[in-house]
Amino acid sequence: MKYALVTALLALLLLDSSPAAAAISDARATPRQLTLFGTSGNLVQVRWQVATTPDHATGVSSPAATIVDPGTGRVLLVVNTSLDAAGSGPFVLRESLQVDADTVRGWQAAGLERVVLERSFGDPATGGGAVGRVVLRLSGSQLRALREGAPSELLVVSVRLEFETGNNTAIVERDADLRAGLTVQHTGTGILRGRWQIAEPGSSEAVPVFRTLALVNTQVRAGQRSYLRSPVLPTSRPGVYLLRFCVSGTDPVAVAEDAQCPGAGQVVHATYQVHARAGFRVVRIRSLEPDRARLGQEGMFRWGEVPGAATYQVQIFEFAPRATTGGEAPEPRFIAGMLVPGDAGATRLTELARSRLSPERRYLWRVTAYDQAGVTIGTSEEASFIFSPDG
Amino acid sequence: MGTRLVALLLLAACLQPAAAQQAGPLTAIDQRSFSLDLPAAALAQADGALAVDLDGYDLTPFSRVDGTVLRVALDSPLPPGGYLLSLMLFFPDGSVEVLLDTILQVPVGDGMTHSASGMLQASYRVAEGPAENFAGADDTTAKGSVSYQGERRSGAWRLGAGAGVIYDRYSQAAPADERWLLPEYALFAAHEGSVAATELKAGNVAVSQDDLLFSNFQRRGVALQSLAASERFQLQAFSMVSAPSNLVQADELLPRDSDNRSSGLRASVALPDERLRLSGGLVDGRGPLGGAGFNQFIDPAIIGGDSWNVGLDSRLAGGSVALALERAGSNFDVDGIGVGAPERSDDAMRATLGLASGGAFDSGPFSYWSAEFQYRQVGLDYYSMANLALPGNIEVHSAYLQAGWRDFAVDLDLARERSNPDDDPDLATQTLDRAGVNLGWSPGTLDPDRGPWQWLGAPSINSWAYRYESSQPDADAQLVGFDVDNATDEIGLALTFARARLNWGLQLALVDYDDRSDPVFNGNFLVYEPPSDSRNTQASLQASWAASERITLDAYIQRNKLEESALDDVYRNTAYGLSGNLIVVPNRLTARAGLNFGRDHSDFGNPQFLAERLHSRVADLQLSWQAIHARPGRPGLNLNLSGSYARNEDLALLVDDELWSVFVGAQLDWNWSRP
Repeated sequence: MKYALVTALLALLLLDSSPAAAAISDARATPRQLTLFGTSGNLVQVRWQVATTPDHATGVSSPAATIVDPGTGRVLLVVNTSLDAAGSGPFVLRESLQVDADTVRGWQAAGLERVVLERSFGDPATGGGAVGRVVLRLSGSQLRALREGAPSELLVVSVRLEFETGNNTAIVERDADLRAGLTVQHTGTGILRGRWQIAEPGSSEAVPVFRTLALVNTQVRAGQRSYLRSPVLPTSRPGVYLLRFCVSGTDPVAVAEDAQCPGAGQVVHATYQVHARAGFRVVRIRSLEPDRARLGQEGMFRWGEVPGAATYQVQIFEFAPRATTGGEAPEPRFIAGMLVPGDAGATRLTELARSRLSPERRYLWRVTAYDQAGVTIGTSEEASFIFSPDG
Repeated sequence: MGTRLVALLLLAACLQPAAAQQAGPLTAIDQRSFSLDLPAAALAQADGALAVDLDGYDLTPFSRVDGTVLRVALDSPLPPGGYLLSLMLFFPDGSVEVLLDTILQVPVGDGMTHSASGMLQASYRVAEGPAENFAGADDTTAKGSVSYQGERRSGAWRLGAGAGVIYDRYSQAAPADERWLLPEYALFAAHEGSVAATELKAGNVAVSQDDLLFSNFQRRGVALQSLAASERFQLQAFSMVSAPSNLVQADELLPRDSDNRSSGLRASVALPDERLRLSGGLVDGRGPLGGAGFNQFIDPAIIGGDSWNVGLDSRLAGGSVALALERAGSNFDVDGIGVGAPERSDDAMRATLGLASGGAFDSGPFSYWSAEFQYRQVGLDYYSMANLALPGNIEVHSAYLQAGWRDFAVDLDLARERSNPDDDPDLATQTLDRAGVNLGWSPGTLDPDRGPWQWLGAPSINSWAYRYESSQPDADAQLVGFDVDNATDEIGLALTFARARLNWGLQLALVDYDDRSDPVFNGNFLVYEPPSDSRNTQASLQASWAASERITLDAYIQRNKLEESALDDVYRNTAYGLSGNLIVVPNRLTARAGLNFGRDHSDFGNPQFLAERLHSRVADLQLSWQAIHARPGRPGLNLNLSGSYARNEDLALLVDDELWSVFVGAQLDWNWSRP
């Protein structure tokens, strides 16, 4: 464990600002490292945590931050933004600063690969204080930074949210199966933290109210790029839906910013609208029999009837275990099918279908309902049976 | 667009007909009916039962014998196309005689089809609070969308158009002040000849390819594509906007700006039976990083260059062996054209061997099995405008195996990712080793009415275990300013249970992170501080219950706990919620209500840091009165009363933020189709 050593070294480094009896005792920055790009304006957002002894009550002040060359200690830039808080500690202070592309390129041209953002936090009354630092790595571009290697901690560089349309907007029919895809570009590996949030009809007006659909705490399994699918998105009510994914760190965000979402740079938005379909909705066909049971030579398939059905399509597939999370099993092989008039909610296993089944083999089956125009109006989940002609 | 009957019939061309009379193609009368003269053998065998099979589907209940003619009349239409039609006789002794195999052609009718749908929602905020959170937001809002698809068929020609347009002044998925969004649009002309099918399209264009050059690249633009009837030749040429877009703006509809355009082509040619397919592609373009759907990112740089690939794919042994080789190269400027370094050249390659049951290889004791072995190397400076997220500066060896046996499925995943494959002395070399196993169990014959399953529901279990090791030579630490040496262990278990009206699931996951890296100093500055060891535990429980035909309830709870051992810091996140839908008056009045809660807590081993507490509560309620039912061609009208409430409290910083509003609204839904 190297952490104790580091803490001791930090304490040595901060000897000149050792705490007084009632004093500021430590300062931490989150994140501890960031990457600045030479192609773009860079928004640096830092959350400073300032620890204090219990009897401290005289506030904290940091009149300026500096960006220094760690190799020489030379000050490269002074950020004249004062962070202050009154009263008793501990404190949490937030800072946003812009570093333009020209500045980054200038540092790179001088041979620098990293700089350090440093801020001293002092007690206005006693003068004691602590120093916090963030390492700012320099890279020629966002894409290049992904490939140059990075510390093992996961650092999200870019996030993209899209539907099957190839962008972040869609129009779908009611009850459609809808998911969004999230492409995350990152350095390092670790746990990707975030949350899917949605505002539904009734809450998606001018000032939307989002609710959390799901928390995400997923171990990233490969380098540089990861792909996530959203949970199944609600489409049961016609109207306007807003979807967003918020990358989150371990720290709670400021309520004043955007509840449960970090800085705007780590949020992606999408919207979709659900259209009602005139006439029938696609209903879920339930009560399938047999299911997880045996089916004899003259066995019957039964299901819940669907109003308006002109034809039922019964399909039988070879049984295959469902794929696990990590992979995809092949599509079940189609064995036989039967078309059944819409006024029936059941059918006997026909001779033709039976001729394609093997005794004591396991099969999946499902049923789909169509109206007179051939439009799907009902679907079922897959049920299973073992064909037992002698049973 | 509704799914047409027997669409899956096309997937079912797996029948092996016995020796039978071969007849010439038969043309159906229309999409619902056809008739044919019965073979003499059918008339002679009085004790046999006649069966009609169409692409594996038994149509017998829809058929009748009229003298010497078999007539089939379906209640739903068949999609146009060709089907394998078989007539069979089943005898009492169990024997089967195939009387006839023929191709049934269901004709394409000339004419025009249109379908359109729309939704317009207007709402008025009758109450809200606090007022400052609604500053600048109108009391009355209108949002809506229209979708249209039309197609005209004339012989071998098809002309079509389609578009979906959204109006939303407040959408967060577009820049401020943009009111109109265009998720997709298309104009096309297609010709299906006897030699090839050719299509010219403007609108959302996709190159459905996943390789080193393309990653399912889909943008707005124009494309010309042609596919030989034999499917042996394929060509697609395209010019697209480089960045994803969703606005109704002329410069985003088509690739007009040379700084936001990617053009190229893709072609392939195959030997018969797909034993060998040669393919190649080229993309030349420029564009910005980002676009619709990306996180906000201020990047004015235009990047770009040209990239190409050639590939060879071979399927052997009845499809059981798949071999793919690919080579790609690029000249690309990634840090901004005219800025920084000039464009650089680099290359990439990939070799994949796939083996699978189902062809020449027997599945053995398994229901199925497959294996894929891959070697991939992508140079530091290889890029493609059609695949910008491709990991680079990397060499990957991977093996992926999966198999199913009775009720079990297993996946094995092994990989080594090594950066700096060119051993550039200015770059660090990092290695990530990954080994994992997934196990799934979905019992197919448990009696759901017996034992614990009658209460729990039919079970399905998935479990996984992974180990990751990352490392970097010690000497590289000073070079790049950080060290990498750690191991991560991940295990998880997911249980799902299904009953007729209740589905519920439980998931547990544990991730242990062990860091062995060393601190790195640059001068007097600590520029790399090793992260703490940590343990992350996650548990979630969700349930969906259809209590009756009129009531559905959904509930979930998720908890996550991250413990960092170095300083005894602990982070906890909890989210839970309950929502329900109620049909109060069938076909008239529905209600929906939801309650969601969040708890985010941070506690630090050093009590001199501020422990943090963020609590959130969200509630919503909507009543919807269906005043007029939508029917084809006639709008439907819904009247809504909705309210929502959100409260976010920071208990540490004593911030309490509330937001609530009540709306009344009307929603028009409209559908139209012809014929």
